[in-house]
Amino acid sequence: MLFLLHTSRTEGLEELRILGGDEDKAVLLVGDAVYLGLPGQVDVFETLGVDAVFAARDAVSVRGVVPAEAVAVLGYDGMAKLILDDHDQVISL
Amino acid sequence: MSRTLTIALLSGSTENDDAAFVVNLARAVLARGDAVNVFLYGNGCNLANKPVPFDGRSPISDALRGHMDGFVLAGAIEELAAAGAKFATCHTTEYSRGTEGLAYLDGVAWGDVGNSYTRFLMSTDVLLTIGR
Amino acid sequence: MLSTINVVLRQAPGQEASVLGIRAAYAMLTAGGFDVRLLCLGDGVYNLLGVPGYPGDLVRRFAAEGGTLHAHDEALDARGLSGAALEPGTEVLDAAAMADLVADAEATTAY
Repeated sequence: MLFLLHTSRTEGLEELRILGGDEDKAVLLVGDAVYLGLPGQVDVFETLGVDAVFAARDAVSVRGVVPAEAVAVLGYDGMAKLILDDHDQVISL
Repeated sequence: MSRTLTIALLSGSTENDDAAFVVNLARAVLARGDAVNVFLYGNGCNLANKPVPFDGRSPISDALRGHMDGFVLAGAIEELAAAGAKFATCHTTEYSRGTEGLAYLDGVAWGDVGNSYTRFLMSTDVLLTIGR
Repeated sequence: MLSTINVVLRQAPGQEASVLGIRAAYAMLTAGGFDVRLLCLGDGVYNLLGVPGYPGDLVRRFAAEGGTLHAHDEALDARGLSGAALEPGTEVLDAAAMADLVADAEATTAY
């Protein structure tokens, strides 16, 4: 299951907890949500049982931030593959 | 086999970068040979119309204009539609914004949630709602 | 292809997103023939409080036409609301049960 977060609102993390349950989960951060992938915040995803965290390259670049090492930065080709090929369900929050 | 992504876009052009993300994602999806539908819903319907340029002197600095140009998506939407992306509006959300009668960008269709949106869903593999 | 769709409401009735979500859920159910569930989280549970006028009427029509209504128990507790205050037939669910509804659908879309 892939969760696509597009805002920095931390309520999205609670929604991810509720909707994701015990399913295998990955997260794609786009737009302002890339702030959730910074070193000071990213650890929360591990506590939510998220196996992989990805961030949109353009959103990272335009904000001038450096995501945590564990966050894989993707261009749109990679994001399209992640969204269309790699998960049985994609939920945007 | 070709996959189909449908996105309900609730944000308009400039209040955040949701619309730019959707346009760029749609471009990448089409480049793969897959299909994309975009339903312009809520403030998303603000993206549907032909721009009306201002004729007078507009004192926008080059720096600010360069920043704002990142949110001008009319040309990109028309290109995507020409390349096969389907765009439809929710006419009800246009009605409340007073824009239902304005000229549409090439390739954007007047639509509604009961017909256009549900028709999109009939062949959809992945459904996203982007915006707030 | 899609067959069962969850529509998640996260915002209170005064936000346009809530009406958009309810309208989408109703259309998917009645025009699309999908199996549709309305999952209310956070402030979204306020949409189940017997809201008068068009938004509340549409929630009630959605339920009458076979859509199902679900409220997150923690959201109700945090707001001092009881299940008895909600639209008739609303199922109050814990997080695990909400996640089960998500897992067995093909799409979950949040407003």
